[in-house]
Amino acid sequence: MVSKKLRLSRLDLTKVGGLILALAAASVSSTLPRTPLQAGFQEAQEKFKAFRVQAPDLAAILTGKPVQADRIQAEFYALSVSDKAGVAFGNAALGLWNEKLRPGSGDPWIRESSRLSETDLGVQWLLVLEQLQNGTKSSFQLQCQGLEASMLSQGWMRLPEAASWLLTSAGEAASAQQTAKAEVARAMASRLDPVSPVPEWAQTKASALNFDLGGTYAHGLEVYNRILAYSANQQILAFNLLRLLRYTLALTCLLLLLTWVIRYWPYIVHELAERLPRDSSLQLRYSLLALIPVALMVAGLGLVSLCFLAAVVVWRKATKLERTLISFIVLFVGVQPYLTGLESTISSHFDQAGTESVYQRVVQEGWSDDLQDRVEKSLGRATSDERALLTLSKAILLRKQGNYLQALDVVREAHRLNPSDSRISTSLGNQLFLIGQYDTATKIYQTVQAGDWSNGPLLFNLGQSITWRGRTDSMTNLIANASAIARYRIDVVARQNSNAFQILPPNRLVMDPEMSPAQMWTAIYENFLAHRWTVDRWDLQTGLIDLPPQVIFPFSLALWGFLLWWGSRQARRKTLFECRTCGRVMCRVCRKGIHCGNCFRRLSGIEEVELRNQLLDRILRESDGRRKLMRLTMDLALPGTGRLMTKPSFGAFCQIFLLGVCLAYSLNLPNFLSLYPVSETLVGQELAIGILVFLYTVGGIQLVRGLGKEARTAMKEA
Amino acid sequence: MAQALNGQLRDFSLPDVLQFILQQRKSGRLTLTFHHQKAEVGISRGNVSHVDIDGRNVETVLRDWLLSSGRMSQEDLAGVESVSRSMDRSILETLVAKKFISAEERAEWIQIVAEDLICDLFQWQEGAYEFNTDLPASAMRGVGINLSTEMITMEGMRRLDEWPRLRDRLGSPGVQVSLAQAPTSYADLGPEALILRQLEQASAPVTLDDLEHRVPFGKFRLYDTIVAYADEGYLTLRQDGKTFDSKLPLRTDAEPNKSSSTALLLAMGAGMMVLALVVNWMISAAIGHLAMVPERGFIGAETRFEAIKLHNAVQRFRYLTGDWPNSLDKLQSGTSVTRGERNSSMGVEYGYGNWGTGYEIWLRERSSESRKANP
Repeated sequence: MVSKKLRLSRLDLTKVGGLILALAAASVSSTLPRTPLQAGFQEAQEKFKAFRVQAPDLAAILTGKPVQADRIQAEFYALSVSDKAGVAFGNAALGLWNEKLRPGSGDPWIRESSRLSETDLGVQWLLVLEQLQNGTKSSFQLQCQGLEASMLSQGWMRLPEAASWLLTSAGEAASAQQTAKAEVARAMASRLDPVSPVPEWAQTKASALNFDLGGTYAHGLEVYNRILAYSANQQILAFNLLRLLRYTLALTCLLLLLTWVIRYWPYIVHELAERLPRDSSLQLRYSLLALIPVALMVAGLGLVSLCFLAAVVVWRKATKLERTLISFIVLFVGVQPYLTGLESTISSHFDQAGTESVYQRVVQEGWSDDLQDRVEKSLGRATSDERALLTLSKAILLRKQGNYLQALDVVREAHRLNPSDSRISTSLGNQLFLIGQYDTATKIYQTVQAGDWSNGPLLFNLGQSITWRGRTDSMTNLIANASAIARYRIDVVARQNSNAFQILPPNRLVMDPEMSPAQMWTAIYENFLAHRWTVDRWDLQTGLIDLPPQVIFPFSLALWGFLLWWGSRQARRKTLFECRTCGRVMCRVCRKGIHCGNCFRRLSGIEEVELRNQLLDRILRESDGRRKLMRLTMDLALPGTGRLMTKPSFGAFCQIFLLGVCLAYSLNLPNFLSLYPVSETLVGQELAIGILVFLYTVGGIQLVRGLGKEARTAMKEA
Repeated sequence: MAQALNGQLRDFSLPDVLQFILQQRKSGRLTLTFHHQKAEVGISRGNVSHVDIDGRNVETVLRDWLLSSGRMSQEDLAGVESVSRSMDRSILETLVAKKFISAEERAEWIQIVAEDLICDLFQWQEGAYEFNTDLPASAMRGVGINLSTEMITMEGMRRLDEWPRLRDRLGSPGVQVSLAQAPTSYADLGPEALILRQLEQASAPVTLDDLEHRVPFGKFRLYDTIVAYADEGYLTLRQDGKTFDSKLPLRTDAEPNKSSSTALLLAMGAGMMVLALVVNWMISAAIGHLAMVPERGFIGAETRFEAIKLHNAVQRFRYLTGDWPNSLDKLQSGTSVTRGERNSSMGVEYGYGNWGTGYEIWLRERSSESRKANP
C-alpha cells in the first residue's frame, strides 16, 4: 500500500515537472517577434550610434544638428572602407550637405549610399527617415528610391511597416502645415507598399480635402484597382465587413437585452430582494442583486452565457414583440461559432501559422531568418495537403537567397507532391526560366494558362519567357488579351522595374504566382464547409468562463424551445403586482392591498378626500417623474434605449442599431482595414464619431427639455 | 343572472376586486362566500353602498346596540319595525323620526359601522367572490351608506397591518378594562368616547368581550381606541388581577437594525465585487501564464499585426525622442497606438520592458529567468 502511494507520488512529480517545462517553453515563445525591417532598423540605429562617435559632424548633417564644415571631408576620408554601413551614412551625409548647398549636386552621393547599403534594409530605412526629418524633398525621394530598389531586388513586394511610419509622419507634417512634406511622404508610402489600398486611401483623403478632384479620382481608382487585383485585400475587406456586421448585431443585441433587463429588473429580482433583510431600502436590495451579473462579468463569465441568462430572466415578462426579438437574439448567439468560423477561415489566409499566409509572406517578403524558420516549422508539422505549398514556399525562399539549382530541386519536389496546383507549376516554370530553359518554361506557362487571361503574374512570366526568345509581337498580343486586372498587375511590376533598375535582378524577372480572387474565395468556401478552422473560445472573444463553442448552437436551440414552452404555460398564481398609485412592483408579502408599502404609509390615516386626492396626484407625479428621469438618463447613456423602454417602436430599434453600428465602428472593434500596421485606417471613423456625438447631444437635449424647468424638483423627487 | 366577475380571493384579494370595480365605475352586488359564511356588498358606481355579513348589517348592528345599551326596549323596537315596514322606510330613519337617535348620530354611526363591517371582510384571505351587475345596489334596501372604495381599502389594509400589534398589546379578550380618569370633555373625543361612557356607567371593570357587546364598534376600532385611551391615561388594563402598561409590549421599529442591515448589504456587495476581482485576477494570471502568442485564426492575424504596430510605435518613439519608452502607455503621445491596440485580442495586456540597449514586448508576465537575463 505504501509503495503504491510512493509510486503515485513519483508519477505526479513527473507530471509536475513536465508542466513546469511546458510553462518554460511557453514563456520563451510568448515574445512578440519583430519584422526583419524592424530588427534591421534597430541594428542600424546601433550602427549609427557608432558612426556618430566616429564622424560626429557627418552624423550631425543627417540629424540636423550644427556642423563644423571644415571637418566634414576629413571625417569622411577617415571612415573605414570595411564598415559598409558607416560609409553609406557618410555618403548620405555628404549628399545631403551638397544638396543643401547646391540642389541636384548631392545625387551621386545619395545613390552611392543606397548602393552601399543595398543588402541592409535597416540602414536604408534609417537613412530615409533622416532624409525625411532633416533633408530636402529631392534627397528624401532619392533615398526612398534607393530603398525601393533594394527592397525589390531582394524579393520584397512591399514594406508595410515603412509605409505606415511614413503615413504617420505625413499626418504629423500635415498637422504642422507642412503640406509638401506630407504629400511626398504619402507618395513614397504608396510606392513602398504598392499592394495595400491604405496608403492610396490616405492620398485620396488628402486630395479630397485639398479639393483636388483629379487627384482624388486617380487615387480612388488606384484604391479600387488594388482591392480588385490582390486577393489579400479582398480578404481583409470581407473579413472586416463580416466582423463589423457581427459586432454591430452583437452590440445591438446586448443593448436590447440590457434595456429589457433594466426595465424588468424589479420583476426579475423582487421576490429575491424580499428574502434579503427587509428593514433595508428596497432600492439598495435591487442594487445589490444587480451587482451579481456585474460580478459574474468581472469574474470572467462570458457574454454568450450572460446573453442566455438575460433571455431567460426577461422572457416571462416580455411582450410578444420583445419575445420575437429575444428569440432572434438567442438564435443569433447560437450561430456565433459559425460566424466566427467563417471569420477564422478568411483570416487563416493572413494569420501567422496558416499555410496560405506563410506562402503569402514568402511571396511578399524577401528572405529572412524569421521567415525561413517559420517555413521550416510549418513544414515540420504540415499535413500532406499542406506540404506541397510549403515546399514551394521553401523553394521560393531558396531562389530569393540565390540558390537557383537547389530551388529547382525543391520546386520539383513540390510539383511531385501536387502536380495539379497551378501555382507550383508556374513556380516550376519560373525556376526553369531563371536557369535559362526558356522553351520548357514557356510550355509550362502555356499549359497553366489554358485560355485564362486574368492571371497577371502568369501572363507576365509567359511574356518574359517569350520576350527572351525575341518574340515581342507575341508579347504585345499577350498584353492586349490580358484582362484589365491582369494588365494592372503587369503594369505595376513593369513600372517598378523601369523606375528602379537598368538591368533587372533575377527576383524581378519573374513574378511569384498567387491565388486569384476566384480561387481564393472557392478555397475559403470549401474550408468553411469542411470545418477546417475550428473555433475556440478566444475567437468568440467572450469571457474567460463560457460555454464551449461546440455546444453553443444546440444549447441555444434547446433554450429557445424551452422558452417557447415555458412562456406558453399559464402562471399558476399571480405572484407579482404593481402598485396602483406609483406603479412599483410588489409581491404578496410587501403589498398593502392595492398599494405598495410606500404609498400605503403616505396615504393611510388621511380620510379627507381633498387632501387625499392631492397626495395621490403628488405620488403619481413623482412616479411619472421617476420613470421619465430613468428614460431620459438611459437615452443619454445609450441613445434609444430609453425610448425602447417606454414604448417599443421601430424607430427606437433603428436608433439602437445605429448606435451599435457607430459604437462598433468608432471603437475600432472590427479593425476595419487596419489589419495593417497603422491605426489611422478606419475609413469614415470621423463620421461614425460624428453620428455618436449627434445621438448623445440629442439625448442631452432631450434630458434637459424633458425635465424642463422642474428639472431640479424632478431630480429631487426621483 | 349575469356574472360580470367571479373568482377566488386567493388569486385576487378583496381590495383588488373592489379597486377593479371602482375603476370600471360599476354598480351591482358583490357576494363573498367562505365556508358557511356569506357576505354581500352593494356597490354603486364603484363605491360601497351596502354591506351585510351573515345577516349583520348597519341596521342590525345599531339595533342590537340600542337594545343592549338600554336606549331602547324590545317593545320600542317592535313598534319601530312595524312603522318602518308600513312606511317602507329603513329602521334607522324611523329611529331618527321617533327621536331614539339624532340625525347627526345616525349619519355618524352608519359611517362607523359600515366601515368596520367592510374592514372585517378584508380578513377573508380565502373564499370565492362573485359580482353581479343585473341586480343593482339600489335593489337592496339601503341606509344611505356611501363609502369611498379607495379610502376603505386603505383603511382595511391599515387595520390588517396593525391588528397583530394591537392584539399583542392587549393580550387576551379576557383583559379587564376600567375607567381610570374621566376626560374633561367627551365631545372632543368623537364617537369613540362612547367606550368611556359605557365604562363610566359600569361599576366594575369590564372585559373586552363584554365591552364589545356594549358598543357598535368592530373589534379593531374597539382595541385601537382602548389602547389609545390607555396611553392617554383614561383607562386601566388588568389581567389576572394585575394592571399592565399597554405601552410596554409595543414592538419598536428596528431603526438600529435598519442601519446594520444596510451596512450588511453594502458589505455583501463589496465582498461580492472583491471576490469577482480575485477570481478574475486568478484566471487572468493562469491564462497569462499558460498563454503562448496565438498564431492561428484571426487572433493569430491580429497578434501579428498588433506586434508590427507596437514594435513600429516603440521604435518610432525612440527615433523621435532618443530614448526607449518606459511603458507602452508612453506611446500614446507621438505615436498613433491607441489604448485598444496596447492590449491583446485575448484581453491580456501586452508586457513591455526595456534595458537601455533594447526592449521586448510579450503577451504575458515575463518569466523570472527572462527578468534575470535582462534586468
